[in-house]
Amino acid sequence: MSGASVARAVFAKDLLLDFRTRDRLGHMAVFALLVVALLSIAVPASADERRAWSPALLWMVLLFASLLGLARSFQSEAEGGALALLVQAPVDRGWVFLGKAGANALALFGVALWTAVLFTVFLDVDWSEAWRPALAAGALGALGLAALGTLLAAMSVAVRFREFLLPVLLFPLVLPVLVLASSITGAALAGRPVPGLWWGVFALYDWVFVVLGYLVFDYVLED
Amino acid sequence: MSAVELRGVGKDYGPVRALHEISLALDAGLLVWLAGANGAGKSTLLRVLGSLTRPTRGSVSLFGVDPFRAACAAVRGRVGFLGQEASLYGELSVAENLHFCARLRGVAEPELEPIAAELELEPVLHQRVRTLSQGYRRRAGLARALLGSPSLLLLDEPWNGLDAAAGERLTRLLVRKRDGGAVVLVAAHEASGPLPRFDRTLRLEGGSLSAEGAAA
Amino acid sequence: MVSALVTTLVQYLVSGLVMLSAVLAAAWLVWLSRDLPARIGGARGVGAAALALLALWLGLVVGYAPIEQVQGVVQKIFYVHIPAIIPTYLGFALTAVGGIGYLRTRAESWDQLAASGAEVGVIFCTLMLVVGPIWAKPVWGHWWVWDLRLTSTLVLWFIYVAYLLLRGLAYGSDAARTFTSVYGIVGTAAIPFVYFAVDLAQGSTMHPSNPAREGLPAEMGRTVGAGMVAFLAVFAWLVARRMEIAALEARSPAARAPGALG
Repeated sequence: MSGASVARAVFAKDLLLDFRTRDRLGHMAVFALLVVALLSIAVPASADERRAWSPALLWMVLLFASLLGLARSFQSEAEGGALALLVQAPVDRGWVFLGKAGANALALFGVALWTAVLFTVFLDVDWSEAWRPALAAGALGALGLAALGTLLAAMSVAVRFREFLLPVLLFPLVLPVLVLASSITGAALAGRPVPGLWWGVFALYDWVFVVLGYLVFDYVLED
Repeated sequence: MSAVELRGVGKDYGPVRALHEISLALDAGLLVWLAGANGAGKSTLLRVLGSLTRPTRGSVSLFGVDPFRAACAAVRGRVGFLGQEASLYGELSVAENLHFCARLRGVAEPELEPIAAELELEPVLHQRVRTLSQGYRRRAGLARALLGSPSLLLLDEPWNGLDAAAGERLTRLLVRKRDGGAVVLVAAHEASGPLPRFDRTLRLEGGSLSAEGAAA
Repeated sequence: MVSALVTTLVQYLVSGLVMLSAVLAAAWLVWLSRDLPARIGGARGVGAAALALLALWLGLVVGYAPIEQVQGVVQKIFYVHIPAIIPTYLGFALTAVGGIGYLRTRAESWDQLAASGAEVGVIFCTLMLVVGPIWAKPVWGHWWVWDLRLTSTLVLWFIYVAYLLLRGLAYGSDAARTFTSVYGIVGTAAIPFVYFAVDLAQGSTMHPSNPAREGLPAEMGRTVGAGMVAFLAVFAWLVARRMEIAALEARSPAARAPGALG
């Protein structure tokens, strides 16, 4: 038995719970739908203006929707006292983090795809030329959000006012995700090439926070 | 070298001192009663032994190793813990919970069936834990704690929610584990009902060990 | 692509060197906090030096530095804004170093270092944010300008506030120190990326190009230098005093207030 098998077990269990209960994914999807619908009604804009603002708006919507899901990363554990299981795992608990963050990343990527579809339907965004870089940006962004979000969600489980605390803690730190992802998406939609530097920094960001989360999670779960 | 050793262990929750300078040593093959009134610190002591919370002072040694060091994490696999809550996922079935815990602790699949059978969980194996009665839930939690034949069993009020017959079976099970060489540490009220014959008693009062000796 | 990435990395390496000097400063501060009665004398010494340096700097600003032709007297706010930069970043460095130290050793003094760094750093950060608009309005006509330095300082301020909020809300819970240590580490790790992101998002900036690169008149340069030294001394003194207070609070639990670091 190894740390990797523990990570896989946690990952599989989280996905199983997400698909069985559907409330976490469902709430994120419905929230995204509501916000995009409101935006398309309330924001009067020409087609050009919409094209300019869509990338940033899309990622803002995704950021708020992901808050709903991330805040509940440890809800299933908290309800049955099952957090003890993760704390007592006989491996470095960083592996538990990797499993959880992985499941969150997959969920957020799904919500990102859904949001992209919503933007096509409501705001006439055409992905046919841009879908490859946009998909990659979506994956990198989902991973970055999931890494920091999972770590901070674990810390806010035991603290008061956690619905308020998580966004306050998370938003300044994920600003780079917002900017990088919307810049890449915007460039792709406008048909411009995406500078390699952006990809490099984005990948570096994800790597740094996945590694940091792994290193630090052992301490976080202890208390 | 004892199986379980505590040296000067204290635990503070902010300004509240839950445990004061606890020192004890337990060898293998012992059935130990952790006695004391509510709030005496029984649950806290079990949580420290179960690596759920770090002691503020002192050191813990399980089978010669500090379970809080990342390098020695494997020793946590030899500990079975049942706290006040059953530590199960409500939306998963009993079988799914046991499978997950088995994967967490590196326990092979074939070991699950005998444990489930021993605790008579077959009727509810595929029911979601959320829908189970208190008694079944406690038994499912106990099955989870027994996975992997732990050498140290920590049980917090295990007879809660069990009827007389199930309670009897639990007692016999604990005695069997003790005979198999495990250290079994059980926190229980005197009012839990008929208790087994314990090899040793540890009495906690206000977070300190007030008495130690052979069982009454 | 690779060479651009390398250039960026080199730039961050330079910031890393700044951080290194911050680590050395942190080590000195921890040394200061070890034995309190003896050290109080040390902190007072730093305080006296800081006061003297501040007086010198003020004198330079008022009497020595020339009045800039284009912007007028208002430009002298520059001598507050620029020296406040290093203490702002230093505060973050202490928070990260203290966080790592606490996680590895579980000794309270590391956590006190982290919290002191944050509390003092946020003061200088707020100073920058307050002084910036005061300078910007007469010079550019807007109270707030979305340029690289001001925007990234704002995000830094948010991170500081989040850290202090977490500290306040988690106070009394078992894990408070662990959580704030972790947030101090990830918060500081995010700073280079935040800087890059703001730069990317803004494109061209309204901020005056760095005068140091353009060549500053000698008097201005010396005044700025004096300001940097003076502010650094004030920062060190404030952190040392804050750590003394925290150590005293830790010794008498009854005296602990909700905002305590202990």
